[in-house]
Amino acid sequence: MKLYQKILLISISLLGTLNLSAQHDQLLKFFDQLQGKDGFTTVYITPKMFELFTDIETNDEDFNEVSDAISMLKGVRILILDSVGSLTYNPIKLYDEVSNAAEKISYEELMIIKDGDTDVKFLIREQSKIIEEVLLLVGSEDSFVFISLMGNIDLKKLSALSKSMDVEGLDYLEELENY
Amino acid sequence: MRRNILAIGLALFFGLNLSAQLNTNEVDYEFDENENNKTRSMFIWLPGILTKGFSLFINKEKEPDLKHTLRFLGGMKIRILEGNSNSAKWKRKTNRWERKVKRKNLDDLMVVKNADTVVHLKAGLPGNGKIKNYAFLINTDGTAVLLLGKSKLDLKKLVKLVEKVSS
Repeated sequence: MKLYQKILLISISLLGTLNLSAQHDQLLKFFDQLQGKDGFTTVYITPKMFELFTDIETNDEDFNEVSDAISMLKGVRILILDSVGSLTYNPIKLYDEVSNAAEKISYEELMIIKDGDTDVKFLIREQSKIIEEVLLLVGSEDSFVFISLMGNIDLKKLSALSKSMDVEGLDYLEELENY
Repeated sequence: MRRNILAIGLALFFGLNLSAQLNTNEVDYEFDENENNKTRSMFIWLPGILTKGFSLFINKEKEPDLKHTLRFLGGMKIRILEGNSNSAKWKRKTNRWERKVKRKNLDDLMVVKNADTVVHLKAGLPGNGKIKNYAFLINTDGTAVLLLGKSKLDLKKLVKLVEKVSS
């Protein structure tokens, strides 16, 4: 391969990586825009928090299962919209907007659940066949939940998280056990 | 003569020490602000020896996890601010708190934001599941709390103790 071909190939792959990260930033921007607004609660758990639990080993199987799941994660972002005081935002509209925006960029649909009047959607972002992010969207008439789990994720292990974290919408992760 | 100097020195030292301790719990008012909007600040110091002392009353067999936590939790300083969050005093104090936390080089563990509430949980993590120092900062409309503490907590040991109790 000639030198200019190599340079071209490297430039294209670099551009692709930058483009992917820019697309991912679009969802982060959405998260940043809404945080602190009336009716919204946001939680950001940093990688350092997960590092705390990675080296801990016990004989308790449940704890080890959860610890395994936690060790894969590099960060969690949660955004919850409750109906109280959020008249300017329609939860169902927000759910549609975010899921459409995510599908347009590099997220792939993994699973859709209809639970009564609640819609649940799992989306994933892959790079080199490694799942780098799982996006869980829950939308109903009176609430909207956005959960982004980042890291090198094994879907089978992820369901254990729902047992340890008491967060609205996270219980749908149990559905991944059957995936 | 030497004994006299030593005695006076010790008396002065304890006197100063006592007055310093009294000042820590003092509640000061901002008189130049409107009476309805006054901002009050409070400082509470909980020395590590106190939490360590409490741990002596905990049964090692029944609650080893609590005993371990209290023993290695260390001292903590709690600062509370109440009143008008737009006042000059509020801004001055909260800026000072932020600088204080920044100087400690702590890592962010968790950030929670609501319409009028921000909660930061930070800790200094030397590795191996140990927590060296920590900060807990809550800022809501009308109340702000900063909790700064030093500890020698070992999470690995704590988890093992919890496991021992549950089994």
